[in-house]
Amino acid sequence: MTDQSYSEDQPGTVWRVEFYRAKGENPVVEELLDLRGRDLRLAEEVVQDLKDLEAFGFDLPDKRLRKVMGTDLWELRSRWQHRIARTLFFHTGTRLLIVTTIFQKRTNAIPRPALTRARERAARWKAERA
Amino acid sequence: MDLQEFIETYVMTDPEWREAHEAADATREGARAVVRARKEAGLTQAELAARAGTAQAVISRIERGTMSPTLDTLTRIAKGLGMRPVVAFEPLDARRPHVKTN
Repeated sequence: MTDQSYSEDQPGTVWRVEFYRAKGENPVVEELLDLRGRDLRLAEEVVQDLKDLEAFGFDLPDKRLRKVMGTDLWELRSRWQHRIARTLFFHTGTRLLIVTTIFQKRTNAIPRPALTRARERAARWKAERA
Repeated sequence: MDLQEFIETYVMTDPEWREAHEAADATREGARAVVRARKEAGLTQAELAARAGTAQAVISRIERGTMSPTLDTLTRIAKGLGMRPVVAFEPLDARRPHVKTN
């Protein structure tokens, strides 16, 4: 077992991805498990893309990442054949990335409920640590 | 819960998901190795493609894990990076060290 700091001051350290959780609940984990129940291969692509995010951070190749305009959220798109899943997350300022929602893409724009959910969870996470 | 804990708790305990995960890992870990080596060499995908005698789209697909390169292609990519490929085998249950914040 290795303890490792995620300070930006230490080049070469890895990124770490965490799923947002509220008291006694893991809503994002539930979302990923729900996706697995509907589409195993797409859920696995999400896991693999999150592993890429831990390996490369914002230097992820191939335009899978984009900033969500007007927010501090980022979107990671995972594809399996014609299906697409979206992961919204935010950067804590260190090499820690908090995933706030995962959902299957159905429209080009991010659905408002998903965006609202992601923003509320991000705000709650930050408030709890303020 | 972090990603590694998620994988250990939910993916590796679900036989169907574990099988899919291990199959995907085989391709994606190779893809990550190509990305790391290319970045360390300071090359773009197009530059590496030119050196390896292939198309940028091929490098892109390999790095995304949507294409499994042949050993011949891997050898040409390695040569383009001034390296040679190394093939290794390890037990399926070999895990990377779990990392956590202080």
